[in-house]
Amino acid sequence: MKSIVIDPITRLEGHGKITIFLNDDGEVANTYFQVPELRGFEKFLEGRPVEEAPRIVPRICGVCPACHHMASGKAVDAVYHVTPPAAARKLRELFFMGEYIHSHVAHFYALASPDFVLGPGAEKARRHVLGVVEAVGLEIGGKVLTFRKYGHEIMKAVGGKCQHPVYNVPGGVSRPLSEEQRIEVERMARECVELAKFSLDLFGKVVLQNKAYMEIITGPAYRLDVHDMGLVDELMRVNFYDGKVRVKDVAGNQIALYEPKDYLDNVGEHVESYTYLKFPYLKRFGWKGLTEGADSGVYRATPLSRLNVAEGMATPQAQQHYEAFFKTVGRPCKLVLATHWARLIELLYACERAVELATDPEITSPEVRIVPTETPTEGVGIVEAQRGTLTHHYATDEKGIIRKANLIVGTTNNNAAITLSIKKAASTLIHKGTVVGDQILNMIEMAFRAYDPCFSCATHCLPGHYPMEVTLVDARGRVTDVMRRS
Amino acid sequence: MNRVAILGLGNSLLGDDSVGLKIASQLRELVGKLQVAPRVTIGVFQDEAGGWEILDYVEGYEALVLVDSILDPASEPGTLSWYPRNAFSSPRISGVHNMDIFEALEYARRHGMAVPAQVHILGVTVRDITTFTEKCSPPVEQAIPKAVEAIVEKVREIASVA
Repeated sequence: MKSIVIDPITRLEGHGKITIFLNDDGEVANTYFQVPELRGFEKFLEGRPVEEAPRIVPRICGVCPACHHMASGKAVDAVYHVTPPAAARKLRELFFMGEYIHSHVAHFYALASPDFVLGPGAEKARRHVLGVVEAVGLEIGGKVLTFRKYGHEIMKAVGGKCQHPVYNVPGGVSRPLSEEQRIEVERMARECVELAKFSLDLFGKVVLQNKAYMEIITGPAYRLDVHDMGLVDELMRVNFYDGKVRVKDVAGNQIALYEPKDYLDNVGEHVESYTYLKFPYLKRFGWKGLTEGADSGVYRATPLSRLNVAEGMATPQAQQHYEAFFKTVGRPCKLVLATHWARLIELLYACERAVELATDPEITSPEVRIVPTETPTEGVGIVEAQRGTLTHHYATDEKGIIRKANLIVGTTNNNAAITLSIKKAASTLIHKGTVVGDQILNMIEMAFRAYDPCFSCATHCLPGHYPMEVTLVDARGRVTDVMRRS
Repeated sequence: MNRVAILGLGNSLLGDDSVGLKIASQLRELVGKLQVAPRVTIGVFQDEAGGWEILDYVEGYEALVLVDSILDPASEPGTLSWYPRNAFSSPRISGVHNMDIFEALEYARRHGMAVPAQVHILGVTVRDITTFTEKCSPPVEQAIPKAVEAIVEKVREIASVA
């Protein structure tokens, strides 16, 4: 038996490693996706005052700090049995839209677009965002810079700080929004709507109108039949900040709709000895191993899942694209690479929603906090991180000191689905006699890049990038070949 | 050069990985007292991310001094080393979620953003970046004042060039 190791995965936060085992006939026997993730963050929280949690948890990761800040802030409200005033909830959501804009723009242009604009088989030295700019022109690159910046500027205008926010306090937020700040946020948000439309337009021209790409997207290598999870509002539309968790099965039927506090009734966590990352699964089906299909407990929580579980988008232009999306890809959609399109529809929603919130008469209200008076106990906060449903759960003593913390982070939800998607892509692309070169490896990487995974590496030691190694090991465990990418 | 940015990177909760942040924090206290020509503006920043994020700080500066922990098995913890910008350049995006610092600077430069033309990198050798603690190990802690001194010296050197 031969094994091919892709280690570490490129263009991803944190370290990951893929091992593909081939049988003696040269077919894929199995694949493993391993993440040597840092553990112990939940322990680190124990013994600390719960009101400090929203300021500590963004340091879990440099990629989605505001998501942790939001989920944590909501969990702390629940611990203190306090509901923030309406203006505070809207301000938090507005702040969060800034994070969505920044993150989705970064993913599409830096991670996803090289595979489509340049092609999955492009020379590896060019297959990055600078190569994309060379191909599509400086003007677009400039727009991307502005778009990214506005995401952060919106966060700064609303919450003061974007990277490690200090905005959420128990029962609300730390400051109101002035009229001057509101005007500025509205201006940037309106411009972001145009930039999001431009991005969807670009996707349409480059991908949807390209027959070869559509064959890849709709082909068997990138299809995965698992259940879907995502937050929805009271009208069952996509919501990133608040609502109930909705789960639909493989066929698209609702099988769960629950309040964040009930997450443990619905989601279990399976542990495998070969990886640090747990495998969450739906309890109603149980853990039946790494398998897809109607009876499996494996689910997915991604932009694609959020569109699948919802009945629509809450803003008009995103809704139009939502309808066009399902008309093209069918419903429910199980095409892994369609996640890129779904992410851009979410981006447009985030921009439109930011405009709605910035023009809400209540947004500049000075009533932004209700000081808690109840004895703290236990609480759960759930938001949709860009890369999946994010759960923070804290239990404290009567002084508000954390006694137990449990976190299910965005990417963890998708651990099983990512592993399965890699296997699917590898077994479709690698057969007896296949020369496993750079293009094949990149196409396997595409299967998990679609999930926008992030493994909370939370450390940014130089050199800041890692070589990629492909090791071939024979049936006796001897290394027969090593391919190294730098 | 009249505008110099100093940026400390790291994770404040992961022990020795916080060293860049601690150095920047001491420099922030010092910066007003530095005997550098009055025409020179010095900005001191800290960030726990990387990549595109740093564009928020460095726009408008002519030179950038980065300070971060470095996993270098060839030197002892606490060792200070200056690296040229190209020491870490990679032919493709790797490692980070979006792009690395150097690619971000190159990307911004190509799009007409005023980003530092000069980048100096000070690495502090560390071993352990996976233990959750707010303290650095003793050899790394002891390197902090030396690193502060080295950066002050570097800033003077940069500023002396018109």
